[in-house]
Amino acid sequence: MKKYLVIFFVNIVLVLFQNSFLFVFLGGEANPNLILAFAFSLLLLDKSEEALFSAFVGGLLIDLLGFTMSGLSSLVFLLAIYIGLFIKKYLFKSWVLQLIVLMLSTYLGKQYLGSHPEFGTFRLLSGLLLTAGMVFAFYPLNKYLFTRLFVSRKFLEIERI
Amino acid sequence: MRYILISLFILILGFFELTNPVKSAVAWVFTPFQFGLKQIADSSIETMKFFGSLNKVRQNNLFLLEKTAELESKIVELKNTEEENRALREQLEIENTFERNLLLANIMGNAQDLTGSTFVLDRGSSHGVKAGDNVIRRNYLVGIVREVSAQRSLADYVTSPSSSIAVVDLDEPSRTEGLAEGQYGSSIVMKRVLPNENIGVGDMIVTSGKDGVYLPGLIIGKVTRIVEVPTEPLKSAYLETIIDLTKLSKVFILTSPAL
Repeated sequence: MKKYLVIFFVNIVLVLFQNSFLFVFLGGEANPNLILAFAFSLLLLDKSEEALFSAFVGGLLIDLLGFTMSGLSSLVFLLAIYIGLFIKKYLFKSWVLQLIVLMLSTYLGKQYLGSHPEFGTFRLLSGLLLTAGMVFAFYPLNKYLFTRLFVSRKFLEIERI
Repeated sequence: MRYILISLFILILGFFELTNPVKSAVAWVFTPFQFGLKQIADSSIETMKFFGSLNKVRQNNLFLLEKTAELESKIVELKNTEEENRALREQLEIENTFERNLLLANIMGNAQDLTGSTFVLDRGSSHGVKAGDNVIRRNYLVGIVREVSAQRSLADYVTSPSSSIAVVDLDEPSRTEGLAEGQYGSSIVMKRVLPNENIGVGDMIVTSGKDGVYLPGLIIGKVTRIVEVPTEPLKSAYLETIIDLTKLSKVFILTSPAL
């Protein structure tokens, strides 16, 4: 339960950061999709259940704080995670393919949910690459959370309190 | 799969705008945070822009300083040329009766001479300057070259105590003669004037050429005061240079024509 709470709060921070701070700095096209990047980094750690939860919560928060129909972003993000899962399970277990799926999902997400960017612009490509890059930033964080914090005695003690 | 189903359920609720109260509540909670983050981002951008423009302003400032220095250098160059032109024009107006060549030279001062009675010229033996060459401006005597190196020469001002010039009163019909000696500054004393010879205040004193050092006809100065001591047999007269020697920057050296 605790780890889902942590994922939930991390998603709140990421949504706020993505929709406020980074949006002002980078604009709609170059803005990375931190929610999907976080979910895919969980997927790379083989935490598929947590990745689905993260994509669902993150998408829902984006919808609730924005003007898209509630549940639409969640659905799109969940589909992206399921595609990633499918590729990983039945086709190719490379993380490169996961990043490609992530970038494509981000592009489609931007195209149909938000800013309708032109294909192939430098700003859009930099935004997609930034999203892929963020996976590597989140990966060590998630690795720490799942291999150290969530399994340590200290964390369990906190849980008991 | 349950997340997909929940999402679809929320989507249906959203389609019928049933999620609006939740949306409002979430917006109410998170709007201050969003607004705060936006403000931080805005102020960060402004700060970055400020520092970005600061660098640009600095670059512009450096460029302008460089340009100013360049222009100032050009102004100095032009002033020098102007001064040179003026000196040449003045000198051309005066008929050259000295049978010597006129060599334009710049006065560079002499930092080692604290009395100010000597000056350095930027012309030397490689330009044909020799010790003893007279230094003039128009037809005023400025001094005489004492030492010569290849590129420079050291000259005594006419007001130098070491200069001794045979002079004559141009305004007296009797052509009163004497010996002019420098007294530092702009003052010169005309000594050895015979008691029976006339000399008046305001008289123009020029070189006589009898000393064989200075060319004849060069203006030394005007008489400002006459001193007659009863116990001394000879009279003296104080002279003042007409031109301010210390303010001269361009002069002409009367060099001997090449043989």
